[in-house]
Amino acid sequence: MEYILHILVIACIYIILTLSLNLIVGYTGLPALGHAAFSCIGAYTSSLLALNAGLSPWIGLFTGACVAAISGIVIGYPAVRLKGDYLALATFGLGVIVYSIAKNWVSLTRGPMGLPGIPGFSVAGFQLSGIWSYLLLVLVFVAITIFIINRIVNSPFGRILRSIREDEIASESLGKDTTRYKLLVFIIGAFFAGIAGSLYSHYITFIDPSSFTLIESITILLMVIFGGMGRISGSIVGAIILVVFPELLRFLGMPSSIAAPMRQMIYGLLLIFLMIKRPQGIMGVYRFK
Amino acid sequence: MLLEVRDLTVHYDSVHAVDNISLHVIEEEIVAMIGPNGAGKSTTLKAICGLLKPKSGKILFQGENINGRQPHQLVEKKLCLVPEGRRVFASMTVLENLEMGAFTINNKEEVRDDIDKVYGLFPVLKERRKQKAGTLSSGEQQMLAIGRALMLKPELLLLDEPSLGLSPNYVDIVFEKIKEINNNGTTILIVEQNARMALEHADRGYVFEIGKIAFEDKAKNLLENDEVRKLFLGG
Repeated sequence: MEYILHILVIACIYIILTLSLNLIVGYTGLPALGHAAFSCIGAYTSSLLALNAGLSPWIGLFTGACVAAISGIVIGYPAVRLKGDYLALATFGLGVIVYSIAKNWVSLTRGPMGLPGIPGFSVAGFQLSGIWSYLLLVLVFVAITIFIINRIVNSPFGRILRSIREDEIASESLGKDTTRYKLLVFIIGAFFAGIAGSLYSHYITFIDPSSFTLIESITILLMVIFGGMGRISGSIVGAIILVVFPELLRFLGMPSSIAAPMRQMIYGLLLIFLMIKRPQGIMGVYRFK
Repeated sequence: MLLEVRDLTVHYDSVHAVDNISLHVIEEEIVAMIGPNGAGKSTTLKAICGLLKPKSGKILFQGENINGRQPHQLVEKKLCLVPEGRRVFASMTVLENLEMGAFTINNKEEVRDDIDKVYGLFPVLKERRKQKAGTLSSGEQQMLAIGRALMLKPELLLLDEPSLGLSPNYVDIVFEKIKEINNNGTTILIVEQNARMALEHADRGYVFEIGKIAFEDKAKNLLENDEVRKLFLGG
């Protein structure tokens, strides 16, 4: 039971990450490959504040999200002036930079040794210790994220985002300052990724740079594409399936020496199959350009 | 004078796309820029509306130098472009496309009035208001693109190749509508491959040739000019 709940908590954290990336990639059509960097910044900020300054994880969570959002400005400012593949490469670069900092600034982050003993959340003086209470906590955050992102994409602002995805020049010709809107989307996406990172660190109670590699960014992107770009339900489905599915493969009853590689292969095949049969993703309507 | 371009030069990297040209547009005119492919017509238009940065020269709109401004700043000044190839938002409905053009989002009544005006000009858009723009014919998409730009209430409307890829029937309709928009008080600067069609509807014309303006005259004089006829109007 504990195991199933753990998978659910992780799935919820991924839902927040996937939703926030979907806003950037799916709704606005900006190929971004560095989402794990934002959650890394959120996680480290929050954890370091708790460990070194003894601040409550709640303050850490909020500060972490804000620092991630600020990094979204710093990265987004030059990046959103790039188009398509170049933007993907620039955000890829961001992922590499943040990972390297986390790994090499040993005096602050303890580098590859990671940060152990990160305190958990407490609500009104009660320490959230049981996994049930954590599940509840992340569910609340998932609900808040869904609510806010849903409001954003169904507002006039959201329609401008879609217009940028459809045709940026047309959008500009209608007087939309597309650069500013793209930057805003980066900031919002980074903010929620920062929240997800912070939730993760206080839940696992240990972080090291290996949790925020490029593969992690690609996994989140996969969840967005797999579930369906530009669809909130898609992000939820995509994150759940891609978190749960590899776990299900554990129960195939194969000898452990071949089970691990088999899992990777089946996972890969599933992705290939889906992209051939349903390139717009499970719930999606829009294809990757 | 509504628009004045003085000594405009635009480069693409090292290629001179437009070299030291000057032109002007007076209020309530229709001005056509014609000429062969690569002569610099579209480049000039893109420089005027801020999509390209000129190398040198002045672009004055209502007396103010707008050289180097961003497109969204120019839209606020009521200088609006209908880009080449229509570029409607395919997955949005016709109505949503028009709403995208609404600048004063806060005043819903005004937006509805503006949409009704566009419907009045293009009744087919009203019939198809709930349809996805991508399912319209290219002629209807062109009307939508023009209607969407009219939502911005332009003083000067720039049209880039409005007849490109349309059936002959729609070419006629689109030019009639352009005339109608002009009669309602909007000044129009148009780039067009279909030189005859453009000159028949315009007041004045500029004939481009490899980055320069070769001729400039009243449209009906250009239609009768032997050299222009031989080069661009098929004899």
